[in-house]
Order: sequence, then C-alpha cells, then structure tokens
Amino acid sequence: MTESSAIIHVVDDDPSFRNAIARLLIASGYQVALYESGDQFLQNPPGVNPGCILLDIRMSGLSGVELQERLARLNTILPIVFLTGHGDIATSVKTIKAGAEDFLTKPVPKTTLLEAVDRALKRFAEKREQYDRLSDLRLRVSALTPREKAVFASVVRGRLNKQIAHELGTSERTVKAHRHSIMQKLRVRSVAEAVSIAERLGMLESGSEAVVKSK
Amino acid sequence: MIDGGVVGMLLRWVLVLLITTAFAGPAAAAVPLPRSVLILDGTDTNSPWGLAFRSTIQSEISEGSKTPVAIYSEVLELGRFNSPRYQELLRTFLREKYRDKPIGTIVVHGALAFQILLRMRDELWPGVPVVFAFVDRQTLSQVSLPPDITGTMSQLTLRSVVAAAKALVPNLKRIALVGTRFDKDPFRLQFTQELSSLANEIEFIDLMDLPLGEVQKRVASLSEDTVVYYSNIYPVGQQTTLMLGDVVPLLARESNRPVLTDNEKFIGRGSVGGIVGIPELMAIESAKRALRLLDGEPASQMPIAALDFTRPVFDWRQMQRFSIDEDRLPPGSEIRFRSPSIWEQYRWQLIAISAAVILQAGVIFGLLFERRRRQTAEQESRKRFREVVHLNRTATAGALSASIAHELNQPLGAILCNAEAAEVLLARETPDLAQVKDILADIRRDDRRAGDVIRHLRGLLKRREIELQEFELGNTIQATLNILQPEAIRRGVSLKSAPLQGAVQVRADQVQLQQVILNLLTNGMDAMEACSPEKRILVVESVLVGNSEVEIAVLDTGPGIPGDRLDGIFETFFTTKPQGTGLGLSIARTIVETNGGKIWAENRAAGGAAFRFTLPLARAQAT
Repeated sequence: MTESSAIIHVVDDDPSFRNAIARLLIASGYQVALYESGDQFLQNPPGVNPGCILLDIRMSGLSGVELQERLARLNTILPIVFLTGHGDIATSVKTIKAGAEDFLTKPVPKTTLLEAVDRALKRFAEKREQYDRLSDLRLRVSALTPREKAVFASVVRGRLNKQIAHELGTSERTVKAHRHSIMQKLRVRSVAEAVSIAERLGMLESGSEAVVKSK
Repeated sequence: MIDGGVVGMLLRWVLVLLITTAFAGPAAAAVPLPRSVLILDGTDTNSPWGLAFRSTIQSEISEGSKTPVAIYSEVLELGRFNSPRYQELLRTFLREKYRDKPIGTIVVHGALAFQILLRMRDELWPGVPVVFAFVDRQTLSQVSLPPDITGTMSQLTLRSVVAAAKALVPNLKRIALVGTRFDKDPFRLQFTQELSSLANEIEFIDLMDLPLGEVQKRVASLSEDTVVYYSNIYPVGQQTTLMLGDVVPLLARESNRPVLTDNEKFIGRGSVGGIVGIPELMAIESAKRALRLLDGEPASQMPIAALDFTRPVFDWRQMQRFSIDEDRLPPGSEIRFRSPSIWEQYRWQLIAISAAVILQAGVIFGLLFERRRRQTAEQESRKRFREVVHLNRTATAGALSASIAHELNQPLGAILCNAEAAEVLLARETPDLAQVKDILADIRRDDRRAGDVIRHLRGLLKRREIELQEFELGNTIQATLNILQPEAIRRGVSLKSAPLQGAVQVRADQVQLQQVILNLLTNGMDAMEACSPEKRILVVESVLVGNSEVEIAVLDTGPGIPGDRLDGIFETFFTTKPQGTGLGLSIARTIVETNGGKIWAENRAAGGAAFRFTLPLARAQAT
C-alpha cells in the first residue's frame, strides 16, 4: 500500500480550517476528501482506499464523538484522529477509550499532524492486514461442508475422534477422513493452528457450542 | 334874661354829668363788662395761621365762659393792605360798625394790628381792656402802655431759623431768604435787625420780593451747604391769585435743598419744618386772659409775659428726601408724617410671610438634601449594578472559555496550516506562486477573524454604560447561540432557535441583551443536567407582541420551576445551584427592565421552564 493511494478524510465545519489543512496535506503529498459535517461523511462512505479520518470534535449537528460511535457500529476500520480547538481532558479520554487513534489540538503544527497521519495510516495498514487475514480465514472456514464444520467445532474443543464419531453417529474412520479434509481446506498442519483459527474467528466464545448440536 | 328853663336844662345837664361821671371812673369797675369779645387779627383771611388762631380763640372763649359771649372778629389783612389811607378807612369802618356794639374785651393779634389799635382805641373803644398776642418786644418798647392792656409778648426770631437750619445741615453756610421783605412782614419786623448781626455767621441769599417763578428758578440750583427759609409771601401784583398756603409746595417742589419755615401751618406741604410758632398755643393763652378780663379782673393783675410758643417740628418725608439724620434734630423735636416703616405697617403680614418663606426654605432645603442623598444612593446603586453586571459577564465569559478558545483556535489553526503549506510549496523547484498568493490572502482573512473574536470578547468584558442601539434581533440571537454552541455540545444539549420570519429591529443595548440570553441559556442547561441526553432541548424563540414589542423566550425541557419558587426566582441571591451566585436572573431582570421590557417565568405545559422577556421595537418599525 503506497501512500499515494491513501485518502485522508477531513470532517470539519469550519471552511477556512478545512481548506487550510487540505492545502497542507496535499502539498505534503496526500490525497484529501473534504466533508463539512458528520452527516455528509456518513452519506458518502469512504470506499476501499486506505486512509484515515481527521475529525473535529465540536461541530454543530452530529458531533465528532457521535460520529465516532456511529462509525464504530458500521465496522469501519479507518482510524480516526480527532482535532479540536479546545483540549478538553474528559472528552479526549472518552474518545481514546472508544478507540480513537489520536487527539490533536488546533492550531496543529505540520510535523505533529503528519506524524499522526502516518501513524494512522500505518495503523490502517495493520488493521487492513488483520482484516484481510481474518476475511481469508473466514473464507476458508466457509468452504467447509456442514459435516466438516461440526467436526471442526468439536476438534478445536479437544474432543477425541472416538467421541466425535459417537456424537455424530458415524465411524471414527469417517471422522478421521473429515479431519484430513478440514486440515487441507484450512491449510493448517496441526490441530493447534486450527484451534488458533477458531479462536481468532471467535468460534470458541461461549454460546457458540450451539453449532455442535446441529444435526 | 336867665329864666328857669335854662336853669332847668343846666341842672339836667349837671345831673347827667354827675351821673355819668358817677358811673364812669372807679365805680365803673363794679359794673360788669359786656359779654362780648372783639378779635382784631392782622393776618389775611385765608392765612392758615390766622384761621387757626381765630378758631382756637373762639372755641376757648366759648367753652371757657359760663355765660354766652358774643364774639366778633375782624381780619385786617395788614400784610396785603398797609397804606395810611387804608388805616383811615379801617378806623371809619370799625367806628361805624361797632357804634352800637359794646365790646367787653379786645383781643389783638400781631404787632401791626396792635399799633393800629392803640391809635384807634381811645376814640372807638375807650376803656375797653385789651389782650395782645404775637407782639414783639421791640414794638412794645416803642409805645407807652395804658394800664388796661395785657398780653403775651412773643416773637419769631431769625436766630431760631438759623439754629434749626444748622441742626438740619451740618456744614451750613448759606440761607436763601424767600418771602416778603421783613420790614413789610407784620410778624417779622424784627428780623431786619437780626439780619445784620447774623450776617457774620451765615451768608444770606436775598430772594425776597422776587416773583415766584424767578424764585423757583433760583432755588433749583442751590449748593449743598444751603437751605431755603420761607417766611411768608403776601401776594401782591401778579401773585394775588396765590393762596398763602400754596406757596410752600410750589417752592418745595422746585427747590433742591430743604425749605425751612417757622410757621407750623406750613409743615406737611413740602417744608422740612423748623422751630415753628404754633398759633393755637398763643390763642389759648390769649383766651384765658380775655376771659379773666371779661370777668372784671383788672389787667394790672395779669402782667405781660414773654412766652415762647415755638416748638421744633419737622416733616419726616422731607428729612428722608434730603437724608437728614434724625439724631441731628434738637431734643424734644416732634417728627410728623413719619411714614411707618414697612415693618410697622405690615408687621403681622411680614411675620406671616417670613414664617412662610422660612418654612418653605426649610422644606426646600430638606428636599434638596433628600435629593442629594437619593442621587448619591442612585449613583451608588448604579455603580454597584454595573459592577455586578460586569462580574456576571466576566463570570459567564470564564465559563465560556472553552468556546472562546475554540473560536480563536479555528482561525489560528487555519493560519498555521496555511503558512506551513506555503512553506512546503515554496520549497519546491517551481513553486506554485498563485496558490501561495491565495494562501496569503486566506491567512490575512483568518487573522482578521481572530482579531474580531478578540475584539468582540473584549467588548463583552468591558465595563460599560448602557448603550441603546437599534439592531436586528435575529442576528444577535444567532450570534449568542453561536457563542454557546460549543458549550451546549459539550454538555450534550441540543440548542435550537425559532426566529421570526423577516428582520426585526429592536432598540436595546446589544451586549446586555446577549448577556441576558446567555444567562437564561446557561440556567436552562444547568436545569437539564439531570435529564437524559436526548431529552435536553433548549429553544430560543421570538414572537411579535402587538406592534411595539417583541417577546423572546428561552424554553427548556428540564424539571421546571417549583410553584413556590416562581415568585422569588428573580430576586437577588436566589439560587438553587450549589455554586450559584443567585445573581443571574436578578441581573437579567434589571437589564430587561432598564431596556424597557418585562421578564417573567412560567412552567411549560409539556414540562420544563419558560423564561420570557420583552423588548421594545425600534422606532422605525413600531407603528
């Protein structure tokens, strides 16, 4: 991922600041998309490009914090850097806890701004990678047949083949055959790796055992 | 031939003679005198002096006699008529007139009359006793007095005139003499002699016997050290139309110096007075003697007395006219026509008026004092109010520091980004100068914006007098909301405005109006603290009232105002907030009322409080 394809989304209701920061970012080599309100941003979802969001925390209409909450609900992975004219500690703590990448106060010098942007983009890259990897894993898991999914769910819970055969009403040999197929499809070489995948996909959470019982 | 008829006639004649002589002589003394008095007055008929003398004599004699007395009086006018021919005629006239009228006593008044009587008496009134009045010593010394004559010797003197004149005028040097020449004046014959002896002391200006017009001219321009002495003008020639008493006022009117007289009757008509002869006194004395003579008392028992019938009498008004000090007058002087001073005349009125004036003055002073105190108190309270308003404003500004910082940091942030962008652009090999120009323009604009924010802030925070202006209401409300917007967001309050359609011009102090709205909004936000976030709604709405006012309302969705608090909510130091000053609403009320409006609070039907206040519309708008 090259920087040139990254888009920085600036959401600020003050036109002169918006334009000024856009100038600076563009002169520094970034692409910029401008929004004058949180509503406008939500109506124009960012798309697949890498990037981050520069968000003014106090805006009339949808405030920055509200927007953050909404975006979190939409599972967007664009990192958010908050900008504000007033450094309010309570608010800044709230936003960081809610997962904001950074919190900057206006006026913000170029170096501070660009460092924060770079960190945000790196974070995006990391998140994207993580996201992609998870997507890939999910894809692999979705390739399993229902039988295979059931066996997989039990295997990662440490069930012996004998037990699994008994639960599913089939032979041990069939179970073994399924196991082989699962390992192949998931592209893992050990049970531990399979367990890791299950864990990462959140299959090991309590309440997911319901999957096993399906017949 | 001697016959008995002749003897008889002779005998008859001797008898008559005997009888007559028996009745005449001493035996006559035993016979009572006829009860009749003849007054021979030498003055003129219209002389006030003469009139006074004669009337006093007549009343004194009438009242003093037990039996009726016939009184005859003859006014001889010897001032006007004094020729030998006239005297001849007088004698004949009187003789014939009184032929059959027996006279008991004669009263003669004046030296000239006295002299003429003496010459006539033996023929006309032989043996009739005489009382003389107002005859001078010199005249008396020139005659040999028969035994049955008595009287009072008195005279006017020029010396007393001079004495009176000197008393009146301190540095007296001259006396202007006005009147008939002394040797023709029956009552002042003796003055001629005195003139020469007094000439050492006083310079006499001789205006005697001059026509009145001439005299008037001369006395109009006398020097400060002069007085005028008016004796008497016996009108002769062209002056015969003059009444004796009328000369004095004519003289006094023209004279620029005081006019002295020695005739009591001349006082009151312009003369300042002097040592004046009083005819009544003379008359009383003469009447007494006449009555005694009538009763048969011999004249020898009434020796001639020299009596002074003059008194110092002065006219107050003339004294005032010539600024003559009362203290200079001889002791015992009678001052007539003293106009009572204003004090004496209107004493009670003056007291009442003074009392009223003093009372009023007292009231006025009291009121002025009160006014001063009230003004001081008002000034004090105005000063306090300004201070408190200022405090409130600065307190509010402190609470709004967040939004202030935000307001400033926006333009400052933009400036910094712009400047750094320009740096980056200029570092390139071919800098985009057009864009740099744009950047610089934007920087300038943002700088001004920051300056405006600061100026506005300073304007808000300044201690200031009320400044009434006419401005558009909606803009000001919106500006206030903008100030509060960041704070509202921070507190999770939804801030809305429901403005009027169209522009509305109001007349008020713009800064104070903002302060009121800020106070009300802050209160509203405080009230809604306990509410859940989506229920925190603060609305500012405006609505026209009639065609002269606009009503602005701040509506919240808080718990509302408890009923028992509604009344006192605007009072000073009333607060429900733990850190409240209790001043916000009372300041709001004072501001609203000073700007000509009313403010009140009520609870909304759907819950929450409503604070409403009115402002007057601008004059151009109000119909």
